[in-house]
Amino acid sequence: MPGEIILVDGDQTDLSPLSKYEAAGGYASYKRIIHGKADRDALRDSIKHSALRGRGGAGFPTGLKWGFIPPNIKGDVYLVCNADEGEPGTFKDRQIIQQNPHSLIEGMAVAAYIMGATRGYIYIHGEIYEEYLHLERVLEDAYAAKLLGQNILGSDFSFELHAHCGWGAYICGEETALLESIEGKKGQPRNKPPFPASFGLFGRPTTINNVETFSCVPYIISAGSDKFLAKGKPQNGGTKIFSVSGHVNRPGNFEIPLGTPFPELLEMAGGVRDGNQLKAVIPGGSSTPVLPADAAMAMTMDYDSIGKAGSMLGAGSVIVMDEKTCMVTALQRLSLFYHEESCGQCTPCREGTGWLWRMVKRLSEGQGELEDLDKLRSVARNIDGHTICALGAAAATPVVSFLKHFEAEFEHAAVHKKLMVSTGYGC
Amino acid sequence: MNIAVTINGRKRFVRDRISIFEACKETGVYIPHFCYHPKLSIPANCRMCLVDVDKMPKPVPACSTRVTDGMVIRTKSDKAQAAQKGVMEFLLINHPLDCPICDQGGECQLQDLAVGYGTSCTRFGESKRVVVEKQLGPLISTAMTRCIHCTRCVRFGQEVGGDMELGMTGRGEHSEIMPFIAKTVDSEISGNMIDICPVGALNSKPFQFSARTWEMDRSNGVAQHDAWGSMIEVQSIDGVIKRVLPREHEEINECWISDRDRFGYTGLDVKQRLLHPHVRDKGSVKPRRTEWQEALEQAVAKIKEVCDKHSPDDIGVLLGPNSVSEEALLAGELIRELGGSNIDNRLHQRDLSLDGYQHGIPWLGCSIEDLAKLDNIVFVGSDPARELPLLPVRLRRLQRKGLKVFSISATDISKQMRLQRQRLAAPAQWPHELAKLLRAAAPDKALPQGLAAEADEQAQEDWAQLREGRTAVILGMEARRHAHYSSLKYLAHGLANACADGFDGLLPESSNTLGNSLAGAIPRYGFMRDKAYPDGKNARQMMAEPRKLYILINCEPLDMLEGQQAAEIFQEATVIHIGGYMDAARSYADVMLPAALFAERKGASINLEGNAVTMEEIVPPPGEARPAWKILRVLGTKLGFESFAYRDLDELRARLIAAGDFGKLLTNGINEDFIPTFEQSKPEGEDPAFERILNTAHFSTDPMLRRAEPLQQTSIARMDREAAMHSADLEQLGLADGDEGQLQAGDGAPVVVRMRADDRIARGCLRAPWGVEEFAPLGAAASIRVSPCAAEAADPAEQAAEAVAA
Repeated sequence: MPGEIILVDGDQTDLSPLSKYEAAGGYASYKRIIHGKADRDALRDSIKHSALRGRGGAGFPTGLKWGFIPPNIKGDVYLVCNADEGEPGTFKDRQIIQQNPHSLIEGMAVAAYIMGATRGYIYIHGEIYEEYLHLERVLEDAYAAKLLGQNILGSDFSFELHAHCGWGAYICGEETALLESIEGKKGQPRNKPPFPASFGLFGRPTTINNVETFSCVPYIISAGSDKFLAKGKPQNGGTKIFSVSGHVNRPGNFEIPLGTPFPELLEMAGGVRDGNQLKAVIPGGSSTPVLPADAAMAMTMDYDSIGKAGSMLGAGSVIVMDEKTCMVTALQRLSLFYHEESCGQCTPCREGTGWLWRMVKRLSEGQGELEDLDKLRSVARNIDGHTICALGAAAATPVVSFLKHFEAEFEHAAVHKKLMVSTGYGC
Repeated sequence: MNIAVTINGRKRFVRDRISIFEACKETGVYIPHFCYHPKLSIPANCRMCLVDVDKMPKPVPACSTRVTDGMVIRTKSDKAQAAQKGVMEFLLINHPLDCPICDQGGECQLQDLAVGYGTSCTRFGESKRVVVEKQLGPLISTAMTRCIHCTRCVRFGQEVGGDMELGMTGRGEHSEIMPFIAKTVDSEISGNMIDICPVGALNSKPFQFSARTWEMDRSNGVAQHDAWGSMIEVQSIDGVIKRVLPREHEEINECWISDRDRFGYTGLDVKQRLLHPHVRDKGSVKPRRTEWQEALEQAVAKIKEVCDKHSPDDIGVLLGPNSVSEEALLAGELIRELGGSNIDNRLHQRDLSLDGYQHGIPWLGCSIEDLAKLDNIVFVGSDPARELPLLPVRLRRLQRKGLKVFSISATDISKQMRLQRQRLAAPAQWPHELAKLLRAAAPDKALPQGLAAEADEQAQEDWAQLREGRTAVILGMEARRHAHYSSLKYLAHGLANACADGFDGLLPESSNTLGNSLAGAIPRYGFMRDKAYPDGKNARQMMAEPRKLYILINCEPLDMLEGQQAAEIFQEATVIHIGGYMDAARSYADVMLPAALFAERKGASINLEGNAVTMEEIVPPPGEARPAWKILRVLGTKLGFESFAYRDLDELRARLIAAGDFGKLLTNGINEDFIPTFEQSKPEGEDPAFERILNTAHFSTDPMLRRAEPLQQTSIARMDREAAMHSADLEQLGLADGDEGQLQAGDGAPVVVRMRADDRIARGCLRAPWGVEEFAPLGAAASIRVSPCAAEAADPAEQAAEAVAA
C-alpha cells in the first residue's frame, strides 16, 4: 500500500525535480501563505489540530512545540532540521531527502513563517553523504526559483536555509549536541533547561524537528488538518514511515497510517524470512525496548498502542528478529554501539556503557557468571535517568528489556558457558 | 526575594534564583560534588550531586537546577542516595587504587567521598582504563589515569586563565584531558589547576612525592612576589617549606595565587643560599667564612671608615624587592643616624624627577575590591598578566559586567582582555598617545614642555567613553621604567582629573614598595616624618655618581635598572651585603651577612591597595641566617645609636605605625604647578635601531625567583631570556624565528641571543626584558641595534660570555 503524504508512490517516488514536485501540487499552499500573509496563529492551530507528533523519536506534539518560541522576539530565530539519522535500524530520513526533499524544504519554510524564523539549518548525518550532496543540489534549485532567500517571491518574508553535514557522531542527533556541533564546537549535549526554544543555536530561540515532521507540514497546510488526522487515530494523526529491517523478506520503508496493525506491516515487508517464526521486534529503533513476538503481533503501529505494549514508537524503525537470533549476541552488538557513541561528558554514560558492553560480551563469549545478570540490571538502572541527555537511557533500555523478555538465554549463557541459540546471525 | 523550600524535611527560606546546591550550602546541607566549583561555570557533568526533588521523575543535578517556591528537596532519600552511590561506583571503576602513592591522598575529594558513598568492595571485574601521561611543563605533573573528567581544569583555562590551554579530546571512555596538541600549560596562574583538580590527576611537580598532606604544619602567610598581596598558606615539615597554597580571601586573591607565589619557595633551599657570614680580606678574591662577631665588627669598621675619611653622604643604601617594612624602617634610620640620606627601594624606576612634587607614596588608587566600581580603566605601559597575574583575572570577570579596558602599550595585550581600544605604539610614543587623550579631555591643560600633540578622532571617541562613569588611569611597570615617567604620570593625572569621576594609579614594582617607602626607604622622607631630614640621593643618582660604600639589603645588580653597570659599581665600592644569596654577591661584597627570607622571618608589608599585613616566622632561617632587621639592629647598636636598642618587633611596629597616617600618605597627588619637561630622546647610534621594550621578566623580579629552578624552566622564563620582535621586522633583518641575533646598545658590548618572532609587538620595537642576566649588558638603553650573527661567528654562548665579561 503506497503512502500518500511523503513517499507518494512508495519506492517509486522521485519528486526531487522542482517541476515534478510543483506538478504534484507542491509549494502552492506555501505561496498562498506568503502572498496572502496568512495568520500565523491560525496556521499553528491547524498543525495542533492535526495531532502531528514529532517523528524523531520522542513523539512530542509539534503544534505545541512551535508555540514555545516567544512571539515578536527581536533578533534571529532559528529553525533546525534534525537529519542526523544514526541509530541502528533507522533509514527513513535519507529516503525522504532522496525522494521528496522539497516537502522538507517547504515544510521548513512554512514552519519558519509560523515562528518568524530567519535562518534554518538541516543537519545531516555524516555517513549519508550522498543525500547531503543531493540536498545541496535541491536547495540550489529552490533558491534559484526564489522559494528561499531574501524577500521570497517578492514578499517581505525572508528565510535562508542551509544544509550542514556532520561527521557521523550518533550523539549529534541529540538536539542540543547538534546545536553545539553547528556552532563549531564538540558535539556534546547541553544541560536542559534552558531549552532550545529560549536558548538554542548561538544562544537564540530555536526550534528543532525531524525531517519527517517537517515533511508532513505541506500536506497538513494544503489538504487540511482534518484530512491528516483522519489518516491516523485520535492523538496519533497522519501517516508514519516505518523502516522495517532485520529478518524479513522485503525490508524497506513503508508509509502507513498510524494505527495500522503490526501484522499488516510485517506482511507488507514480505513476512519473516524463510518462513521462520517471529521471535522479537524492536519497534522504534535500537534505543526502544524489545518486545517478544506475541506482544508485537497484538499491537497496532501508533504511539499509544506501542506504548501500552511496553515499548515506544520512536523513529519507527522496526527491527524484526526471527527464532534463529541469539539475543545475547544481539544485545552485545547494541551495547557496543552505545559504548562507542557515548560522548564522554557525564560520568554514568562514559563509564557505564563500556561496563555494560564488556559484561554482555563476556556472557556472549561464554565467560559470564550468573551474577552478571543482576549486575547488568543494576548498572543499567544506575545509568538510566542519571545522565545529561537520553543516550544513557538509550544504552540502558536494550539491556533491561532483553533481560526482561529473554532472561533464559542469558542464564543459559552464564550457566552453560555457551549460547542457547547458535544457529543464527552473529553466532 | 526569599522563597520557601523544604530540604530534607525542614522548611528553609533561601534566595530566589539560586541553585539547589547553593541553597543547600547556605542552609548547611552538604551535597557531594566534583565538577562544581564556585568560581567556574556549571557543566553538571560529574552527576555526583543528583538529588531527589518532588514532582520530578528522575533525580536532578543540584548544581544546575534552580530552586522554585515550594520545592521539596531530599538529598538523602533512597532515590538520591541510589543515584549518588551509582555515580560514585562509575567514577571508581576506572580510577586506579593507588591512593598510597598519590600526592592527593589525604586531601582528595574522591577519596573522601568514596568513604561515604562508595562500597568497600568492587564488583567491577573488567580491566581498568590506562591513560597516557601528558607533559604540561615544569610545574604540573600528571597522572591522567586518575582523571575523572570533571573538566574543572578546562573551564579554569577558559574562564579564569583567559586562555584555553587544556581541553577534552576523544569521546566516551576514550575522553582525555590534554593540551592541544602536545603543548605545555604556560599561563602565569597555571598552578591553580592543581588546586582545583579534585583528584590526583594534576599535581605540583616541585612538591611531587615529597610529603603527605597530613604530616605538614600549616601556617598563614602573605605572598611576597608581587604587589597583589595574595593570602597564602605555607605548609612545612621540620622547618622546611614543602609547598605554598592559596588561602581564600575574596577581596584580594579570591581562591587563586600566581605561579610566582606558589612556586617561589623553591628558591629558598638552593645551593646558592648564603648560610654563614663571610668577610673578604684585603687583596683576597674569595670571601672567607667567619663568625657573626667578626663580620659585624668589620661591617661597622667599614661604615665608620667611610664616615671618618669621607662623609656619610658617600654611603648608599639600596633595599631590594623581598624586603619588609621593619627592614626598611631600620635601614632608613641607620643611614639617617649616620648623617646621610642616600637610601632607595625603587631600584628600577628610570625617571625619578617627580620626587619632591609628589604628595605621598603612589599606589593603585583604590582597593582591589573597588575595581568593581570602575566603568573604564586605561592602562599605560603595562602588560598586566606579566606584572600582576591576578589583575587580569579580576578584570576579565568585571568585563562581563561592563568594564571597558583601554591600553597604550608596545605589546598587544588583547589576548588577556577584551580591549575597547588599544594604542599599539613604541614606548617613545606613549607620551604622545596619552597627550592626545589629554588634549581631547582638557584642551586647555598644559602639556609637558616640549611635547606637542593634537587630539585625533580616536581620542575624541575614547574620551566620550571615558568621561562617562568612573575611570582609572593606571601606569604599569613598563611606564615606571620609561625615560619620561614624570611626563606619563603628569598626563595620566591630568586625564584622570578631567574625568567626572576619575583617578590615576600605579602598579607598584614589588610586594612591599608601598611599605618600604612609607617606612623610610626613600631619599626624600622629610615630608612624611621629620622635616629636618635632608634629602638624599635616589637609586639612579647613586648609580650615576658612585658611592664609596653600599649597604645592599636583599638587593643584587639584576634588581637595578642597569644590571651590568651596577655590578661594575659594586665591584669598585665597598659593599656590605645583607641578603639571602651568595652567588652574585661573592664577586663584589666585602662583608656578607646571611639574611632570612620570605617565611623565615616576621615582617609587615603593604600591598598595592594599601592593605597592611604581617607575616609570622613559619620556618627557621637556614644556617646562621638571621632576619635582616635584627642584623640592622645590631649594626646600629654597634655604631652607638641609642635609638637602636629596641627590645623587640612590637616596638618596631609601634614605630612603623607612628610613622604617619598611612591612609593620607598613600596618594597619587602631585603639585598642581608641576609641569615636567619632555625631551624627545634622539636615537642612540645609527640605524637600524629598534626601540627597546623594557618589560618585566616574569620570573626574574626578585633574587628568590631568579633562583627558583622550576620557574626558570618554564616557557615564560625561557621566552624572557630571548629577544623578540615583530615577524616583519625580523624578516627585514634577514632573520627567522629562532635564529641568533646580535644586540648592541650604543658602543656597549654586543649581546648574542635567540630572536623570536612575536606579532604582538609593535613594529620597530624589540622586546628585551629587564631583570635577566642575558640582557644586563644592554643596560637600560632605549634604542638597540640588531644585526644577524655573522655565520662564521664563534660559538654564541662563548661570545655572550665574552660580552658579559667585557
